[in-house]
Amino acid sequence: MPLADVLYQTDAHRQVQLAISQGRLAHAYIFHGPDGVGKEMFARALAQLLLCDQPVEAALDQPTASDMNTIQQGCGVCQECVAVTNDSHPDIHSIYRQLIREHPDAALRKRKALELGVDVIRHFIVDKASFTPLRGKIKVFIVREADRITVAAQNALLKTLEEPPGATHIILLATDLSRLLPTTLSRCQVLSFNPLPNAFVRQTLSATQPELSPGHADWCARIAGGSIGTATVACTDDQYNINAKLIDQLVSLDAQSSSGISRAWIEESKSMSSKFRQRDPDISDSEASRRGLRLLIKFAATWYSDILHLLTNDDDGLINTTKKTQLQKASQRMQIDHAINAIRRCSLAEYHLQRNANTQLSIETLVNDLARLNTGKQAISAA
Amino acid sequence: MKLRFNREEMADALRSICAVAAARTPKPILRCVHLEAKSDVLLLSATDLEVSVRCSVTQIEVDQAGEAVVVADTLSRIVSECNDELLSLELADNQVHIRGAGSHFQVVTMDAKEFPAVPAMVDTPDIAIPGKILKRMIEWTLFAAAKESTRYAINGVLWELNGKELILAATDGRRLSLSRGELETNGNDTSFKIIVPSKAMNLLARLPGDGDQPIGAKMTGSQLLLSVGTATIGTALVEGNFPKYEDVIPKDCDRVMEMKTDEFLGALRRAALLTNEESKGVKLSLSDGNLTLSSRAPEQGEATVSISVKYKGESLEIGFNPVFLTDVLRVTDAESLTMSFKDSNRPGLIKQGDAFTYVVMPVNLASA
Repeated sequence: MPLADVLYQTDAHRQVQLAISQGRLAHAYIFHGPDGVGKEMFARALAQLLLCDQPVEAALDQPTASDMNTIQQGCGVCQECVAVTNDSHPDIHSIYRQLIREHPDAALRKRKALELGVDVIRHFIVDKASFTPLRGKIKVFIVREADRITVAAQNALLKTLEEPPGATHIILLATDLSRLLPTTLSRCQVLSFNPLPNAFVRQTLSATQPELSPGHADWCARIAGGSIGTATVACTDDQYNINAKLIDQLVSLDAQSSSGISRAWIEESKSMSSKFRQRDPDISDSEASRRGLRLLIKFAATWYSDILHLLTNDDDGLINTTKKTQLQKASQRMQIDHAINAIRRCSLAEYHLQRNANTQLSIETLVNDLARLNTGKQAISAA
Repeated sequence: MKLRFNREEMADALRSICAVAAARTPKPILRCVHLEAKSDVLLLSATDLEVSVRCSVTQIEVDQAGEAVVVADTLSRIVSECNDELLSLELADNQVHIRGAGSHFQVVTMDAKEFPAVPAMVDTPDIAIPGKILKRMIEWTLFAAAKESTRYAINGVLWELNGKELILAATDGRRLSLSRGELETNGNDTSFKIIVPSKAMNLLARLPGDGDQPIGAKMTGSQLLLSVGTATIGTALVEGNFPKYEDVIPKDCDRVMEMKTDEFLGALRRAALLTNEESKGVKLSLSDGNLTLSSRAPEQGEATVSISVKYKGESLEIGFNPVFLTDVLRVTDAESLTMSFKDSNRPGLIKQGDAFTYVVMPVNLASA
């Protein structure tokens, strides 16, 4: 995958090309941006360029306006490039939390890989970085989910990040910079990756899953907020229909139906949790169902934000475009501050869940408050 | 691929292969051995992307040349558990069939094209050193190398080659071990200063081969290639600069003690019985002709052991971590050794002729 294939990330392209042309490429980068926008693709393509025997100039055919027309990238035909493309290059090291299962210490292998721990960082980065490259001129470490590196592991990595032995490049892929220590941040250059345009996400989805109806693909692209990865998950988990069911419930929500609906949400989150656990077997049952609930809360908040968009006559930002009639009906019953309060109430509930509050209690009070707001009363717990 | 091979020779080769093939790795192909049958030789190779090894088996009859990749551990166990003198091996339908009298194993294979390239010694090696001497030198130094230091340059053994002299040195920051040896040949008048990872050194020391055979070495790119008999080891090197070992070796040690190695080792081990992590070590008290070792472990007790040594001069008290001394006494083969000191807060120096030098830092016993 050559560099020019990473689309819509002109800022990252510009900074990297500038650094290469001036011979100032940093040895430690943080690629920061949402999941599924091409951070890892970019990291691999950059590694390919650095390892390539004869880099070539390629046209940067970006859909957005850019002052950059050509970039340097790997040739794609030399031995090194072929090895990178086949994912068999010995000088590119992928680091991810599940690597703990390959650790030489048998006791550590049994641990759940919830975070990127100090043992993985020590054994797979710090130790390996001290060897000379095997084939190429350099070695590259690509760390997935770097915001899940534990504090101890970040401290263990500091020395290597600051002064990697020999020609070593370390690329940390992160979605949330606030979870990295200031000492880690100060040793790396941060490259920001932007969310992709909705239209592009929709096109990609329709191309990979042609059986999807246009409205369905459009909703997945919109809810994903510019991430192809999140949109694909939304498709495979059939979140479109889950959302449709939830909207029906919200429309009919009042004091009588609220307890039934909160029960239904908890049931729904349990059935969603099995899908989360299939994708990531290391997370616990309760964490998986919390994730399910947080997703439902996100859908609810999206619904109220759509109402708010309609109330302020801003139709462009709508997510639930296929539910316009229901939206219009609901918006006639609601005032602006009720919609705002509903969104606030959702974000409070999400915060509670993140802080391990009792799930049932959080959902019951949330649904109860939403029911009150729906019927023109004030919420009991305000954000 | 179809051939018959001598089981014992194959089992030996596979033992070396299994020492390298990774037991646990995110890349399954690295758990495998690559087999390549040519008309008169079967080449076996394995790599964990840091160290690689290539062996050949010659007592074979090849019916059909070819190559195959199978999990090294599985093949090794099959070959060592059988008791036939000859086994046959055949690749058919992506499976390797191994047949002996009454037994038949089918082992799944992986794509041979995916196996990483393993370097071979193509030309004659630049330097050759008698195997006995090099293995001795490794034994003398490897134990002192740091195991998991963040100063990565000391997690290996320094090889410094000047003319016909090879110096191996290892340190973990508290002790330094150094040995010198004479090369047999240095064809291109090569000289280098490299740090070889401990894993490769271990492998080299364990490779079978009679001691009279020379071990060849050659640098290619960023790798060091070593040939022992028919086997070749390739290894990546450790990056960085090794500390200046010359500055560490004290030159002004004027108090010289000479003792019998096994007597000193025995006394040390006895005295070390009453030390623990909190107590700082064993105290050596030297006076004319006598050495007393004493130790004290809080809430456990005390030990005193005396032996007679050759020593003349002012009496001296100095503390050492007993492990650092027993380590070195285990690897020397001399009947008697000299250990010399300057002062109780200066390093001790153990020498066995010119070939072996060991520097060990004392521990402060004042507060013990």
